[in-house]
Amino acid sequence: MSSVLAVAYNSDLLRPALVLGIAAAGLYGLLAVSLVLTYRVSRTIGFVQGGIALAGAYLYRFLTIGSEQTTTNERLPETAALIITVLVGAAVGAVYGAVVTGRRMANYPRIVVTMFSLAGLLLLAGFSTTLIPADEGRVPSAFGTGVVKVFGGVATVHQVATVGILLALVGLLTVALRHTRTGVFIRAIADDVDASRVVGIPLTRMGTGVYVFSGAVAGLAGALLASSVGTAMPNILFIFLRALIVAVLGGLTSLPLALAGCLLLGVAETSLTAGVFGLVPTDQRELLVMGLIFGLVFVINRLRPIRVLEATGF
Amino acid sequence: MDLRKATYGLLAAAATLWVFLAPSYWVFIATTAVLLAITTLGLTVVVGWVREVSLVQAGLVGTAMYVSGYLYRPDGGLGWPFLAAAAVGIGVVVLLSVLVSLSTARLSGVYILVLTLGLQVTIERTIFANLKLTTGEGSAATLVTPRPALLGLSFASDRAFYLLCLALLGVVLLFLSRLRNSRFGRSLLLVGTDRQAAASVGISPWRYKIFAFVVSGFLAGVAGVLTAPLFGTPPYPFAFFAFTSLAYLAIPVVAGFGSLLGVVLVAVFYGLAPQALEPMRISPLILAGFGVAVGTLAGRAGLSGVVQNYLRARRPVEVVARAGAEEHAEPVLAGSAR
Amino acid sequence: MSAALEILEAYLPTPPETGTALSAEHISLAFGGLQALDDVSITVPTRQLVGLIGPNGAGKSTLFDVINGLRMPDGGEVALFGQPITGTNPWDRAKLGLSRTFQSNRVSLELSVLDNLLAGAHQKIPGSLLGTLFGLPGARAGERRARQVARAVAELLDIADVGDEPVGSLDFGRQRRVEIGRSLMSAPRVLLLDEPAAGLDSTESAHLFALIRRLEADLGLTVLLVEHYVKAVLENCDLVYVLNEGRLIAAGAPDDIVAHPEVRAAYLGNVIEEVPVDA
Repeated sequence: MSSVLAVAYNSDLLRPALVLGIAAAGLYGLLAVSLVLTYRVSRTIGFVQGGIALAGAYLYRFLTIGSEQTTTNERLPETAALIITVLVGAAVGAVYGAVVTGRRMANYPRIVVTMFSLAGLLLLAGFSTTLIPADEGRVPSAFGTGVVKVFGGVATVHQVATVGILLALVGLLTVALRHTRTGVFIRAIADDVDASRVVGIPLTRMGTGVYVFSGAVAGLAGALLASSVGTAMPNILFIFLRALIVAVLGGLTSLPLALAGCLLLGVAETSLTAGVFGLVPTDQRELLVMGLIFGLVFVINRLRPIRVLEATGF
Repeated sequence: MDLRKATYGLLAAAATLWVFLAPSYWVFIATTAVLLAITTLGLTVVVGWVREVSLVQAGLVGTAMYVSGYLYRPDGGLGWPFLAAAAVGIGVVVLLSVLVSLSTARLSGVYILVLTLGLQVTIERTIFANLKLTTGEGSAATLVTPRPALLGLSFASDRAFYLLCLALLGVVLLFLSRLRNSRFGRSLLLVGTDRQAAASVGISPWRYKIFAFVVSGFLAGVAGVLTAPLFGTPPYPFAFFAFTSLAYLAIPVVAGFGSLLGVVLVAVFYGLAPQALEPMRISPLILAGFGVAVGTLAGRAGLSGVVQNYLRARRPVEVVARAGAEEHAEPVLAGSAR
Repeated sequence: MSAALEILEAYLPTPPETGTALSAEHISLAFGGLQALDDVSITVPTRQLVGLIGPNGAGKSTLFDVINGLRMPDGGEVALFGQPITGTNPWDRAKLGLSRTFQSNRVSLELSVLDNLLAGAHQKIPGSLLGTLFGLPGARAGERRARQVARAVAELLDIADVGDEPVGSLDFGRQRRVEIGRSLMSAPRVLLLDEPAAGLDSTESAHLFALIRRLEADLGLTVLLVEHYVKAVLENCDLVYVLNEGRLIAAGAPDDIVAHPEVRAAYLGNVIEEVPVDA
């Protein structure tokens, strides 16, 4: 077993790794945003967002490249495909949100609704892989193929755009949640569902609205993923699950924490891959990252004195 | 009570005898279904009884399979005796279960869900990426795990191996049934219902959650160590990726947590269905997703709950007679005033 | 009927004749910017029925949570039969003889009444895990004995006729009694009942209180109960504590409590009787 505690530290690789790490964090961040938003409004894990992202990736590929039989005329320009994918994501979010925040399911135990979200992921993945022929190459980006020099590293325009979109979204959300009536309602729902209902906040409408927005973001993430990493299902799922883990460690309610986690994860992963700390084999890298996460959880567990025993989980 | 015993007997007989009339291919498929039943029975203890979501079960089965397969097979492996290899394979998996449950026992359910998922993904990228274990190194690498011979009996034929797995399933069902009807099972169920109530009658929720994970891990291990010789050439790791762990959840959710036999029957259905539905090319993911959706909407008791309610509603005569007798009996506490 | 009581008597531990069964001293607890409990001290003498009343939000259930171990207080000590248990976790407190019911019915809806009752007897049933799995005689005998006690408890609580029915199919009042019965099955020396009569009609309440009095008198059980049904508390309890907004405002025999001006002002109002209030 070669040195895990690699002594080599290549400082000249750090800057480029940082840049790439931030770019990776952009993708994680978009998924984390949709997860945190839906958790706040429904207190469930948004597995379905992963399904929307996956379906979005497949749909974007289908619209831009299609299959071998698709002629050049049938292909859509990337920007149009991107917009359609976002709208489809929003539509799926709308349907799912209406069902899950509707009167019937709103009172179901949270674990049941989380399972239902899981079903959504499985169904979306199943239908995507069945209806759209799989092919694992990269898909052209809506932002072209340009490359820029940024802060001592090199990044594609696509990656810069991804991070830019994320920052814009987060800025938009921050403003909206603080300064608009809808935003205040949503924060109220996140704090106390029953009180919100009593006060007269339209829960189903608000809830569905959040799901529409989250679905759009997830769809967007899927389309961007298709250009970054391709449409191999295990890869997309892997990225989604990583985003989920990070969002959970941020408590699923704090967007800044979740984004900070995404940044940390992106930079750590890229640094290890790029060889900033010397060459670390893939499986050891994985163990390191996971060990870090488990270690963090263990520390949180120990540091937090258990002053209250809760009745049920979730 | 007699009806239930008769049902079990009938099912056991049918499960044993059909194999002498069926083509080898279907016996093989049925064996995979039996092993799936063992795996999901383990999952039921965690998901159904203590109500935690574990997303690492497929990873555990795969780990046990690859580790024990590597230790056991003579070519491309270490050539250990089968039982020793199996013990180590199961031990590794139980250890992983203890680790993950120890670190999350006192945290909310969300952490357990996500950390088991994290473990699943880590397994995929470490153990499953290790060619020595999975597909063999070298250009013409195909690893073959032979069927074991135990107690002087050879289980090389499909039929014999099926009967071995079926017998183990029977033992697992017996043990789990006894567990459920004991103080251990009731404690597990109360921890799942309400941790505060469990703590207030002397049950430690942490200890019992860890216990549930150990049971679940153990059964995943058993299924895993049998899967390697079943297939001969071990399946590609893809079969034990995260999606499979997610799909496994469909089975206890559809079957409902109240009935062990229900879980077995649904597992057999899911084990056989993809083959039977092959002409229609229905993705197992869609089948699983549909199952979970229907199962969650059917309520906590799942399909077996629906069946049980139906059976209960059909014995009106008994209930009415009892209610009639009640009206004439004195309430027990009435005459006890001081 | 007395046969059932005898079975339960043999099952429960014998408490001491005199002394303090339970004491909570100077309990303070704040959360969410609210002082839920402020220097509350109560003492429950052995073999007595003690009531805890107070308006909504007074902190009664919170005090139970502290005594029970589900919440850690910011300050104060809890002791059971003289033994300090402030740092002990809830399940170990239960093993020492402190059991507690909840306001809402926290029962396993899919299990039968008897199974729910037996769930409370976890620590009293002998038998190792291996003995259970292999169906050894020792484990089976332990199980049989526990079933016998469970049936006796069910009879005392008037739910014996539905012993094999899933609890989810029963009405609220019966579920309530399952909740109480489960606590009895943990063989407590001190029983904390959180609004035991909630959801019961007056006949059922009367029966329940009669049973509680009987358990106290014949079996020496010490009971601390929280109740909204003030009349039942004043009629049945030996000692009453009154909590308001996290503070103890009165303690004493029921007659003294009725006359206490601060209690009437805060809570009873004109419910009991008009007595001129001194400044």
